[in-house]
Amino acid sequence: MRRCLSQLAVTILVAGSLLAARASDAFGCASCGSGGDDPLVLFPAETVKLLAGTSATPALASTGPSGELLASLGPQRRLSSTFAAGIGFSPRVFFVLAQPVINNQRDGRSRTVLADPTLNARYTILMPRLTESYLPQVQLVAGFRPSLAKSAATSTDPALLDVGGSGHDEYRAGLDVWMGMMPQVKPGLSAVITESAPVRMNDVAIRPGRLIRVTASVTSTVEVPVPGLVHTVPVKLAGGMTADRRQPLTQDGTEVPGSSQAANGLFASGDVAAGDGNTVKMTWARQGAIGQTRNSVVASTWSLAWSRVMQ
Amino acid sequence: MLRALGLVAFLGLAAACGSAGNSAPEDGDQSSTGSGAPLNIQPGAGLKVEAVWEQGPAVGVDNSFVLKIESKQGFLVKAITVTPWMTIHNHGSGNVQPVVTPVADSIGTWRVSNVFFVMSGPWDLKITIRSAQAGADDSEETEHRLTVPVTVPAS
Repeated sequence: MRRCLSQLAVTILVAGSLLAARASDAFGCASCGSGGDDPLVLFPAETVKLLAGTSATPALASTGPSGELLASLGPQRRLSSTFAAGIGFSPRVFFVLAQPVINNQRDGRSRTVLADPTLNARYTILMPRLTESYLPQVQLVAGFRPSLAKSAATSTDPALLDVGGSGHDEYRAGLDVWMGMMPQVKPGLSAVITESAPVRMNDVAIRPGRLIRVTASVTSTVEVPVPGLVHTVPVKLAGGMTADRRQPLTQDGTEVPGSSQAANGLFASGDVAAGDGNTVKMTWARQGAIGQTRNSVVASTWSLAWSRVMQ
Repeated sequence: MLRALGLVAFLGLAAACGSAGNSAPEDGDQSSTGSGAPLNIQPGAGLKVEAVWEQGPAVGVDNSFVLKIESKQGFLVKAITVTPWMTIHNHGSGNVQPVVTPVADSIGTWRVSNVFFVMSGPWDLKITIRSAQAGADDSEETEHRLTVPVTVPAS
């Protein structure tokens, strides 16, 4: 009995330290595919799926162009919730619409804002059969995030608590390769490029540089004995790392020196089936976990998300 | 004790307005002491601009500096706006607007207060000076845009 409990505790700890997410996102790694930063991913047989997630970032630390920590009077903590709906149009194509809500906090003051929504899509180019263990699943990834929320550039709050977006329409595209038919550990790799639309600010056309995010992950399922149950409970574990590199920001087409960004992150997640199409997923993600973090944010985020297959 | 931005430069009057770019200064006298870096100025305009910190630069306080503007050809300064901008992170300081007031008994001198930096690191002071020839109407105003790099220390 004690052994079972300790196994369960270890499993919960591992599961609780799981899932891929950007520090500001509530959602974790994809439930199918190697992930990236999609809030929700549909299996081929799924046509409608919903997600509600919440996350907490207890501390945020901004960094400068040399990776130095900056003194900041911006948000100290962030809570967020994400609501997402996915629709599959065929076994190969699905769309996901996600709407995060962010609560920025500082010194006992907080503001809750609607963040920029995202519309993501995936198309499965290569779909291996269950017996094709070493044939990868290959998906095209695309997404659009319109700039609807206030950004740091348009904030009217001296502590930037009203910020919910980047201030630029963002378009993303990439590839996700996942060895999902492998029997035990399933590695995955995705690379996504994000382009930002220019915006005029102070009579200057400002355009953030191209962002390249590479995500490497492994997923595996372990059977966990649960006291009182005659059968074990499968827990899907995932872990990996992300590497974000953004080219320098431009002003009227001229690069701003020292404005390139870099951040490497770690993530871990675990999800369990909660009966009848429901899944509960816990995620831990650390942005700025490895190497130099330039012009970015160092933060750990804990997330809990529930998803349900409706059809 | 005053810490000098020590920003001195000459702009040619005939030039069109400067843009707040990041190109290196190409002409004009410049000096820099204290915490400010050299003023980043478009070449060939015609104003002599000097700024000296009174308070700061520091995070989260009411920073202020004195801006002295001289014009060789007697242009009148009609208006000045100052915007602190953290260019590399693409943000300012919320709705905290610097206040520009003329210094009494000191022609061509302005005090810029309420300059707020929400975080440490490399900032720019984007200064816009609207000027006109004495006796000219408002439609003949010229706008000069200057960018002053400022490093705000972490403590």
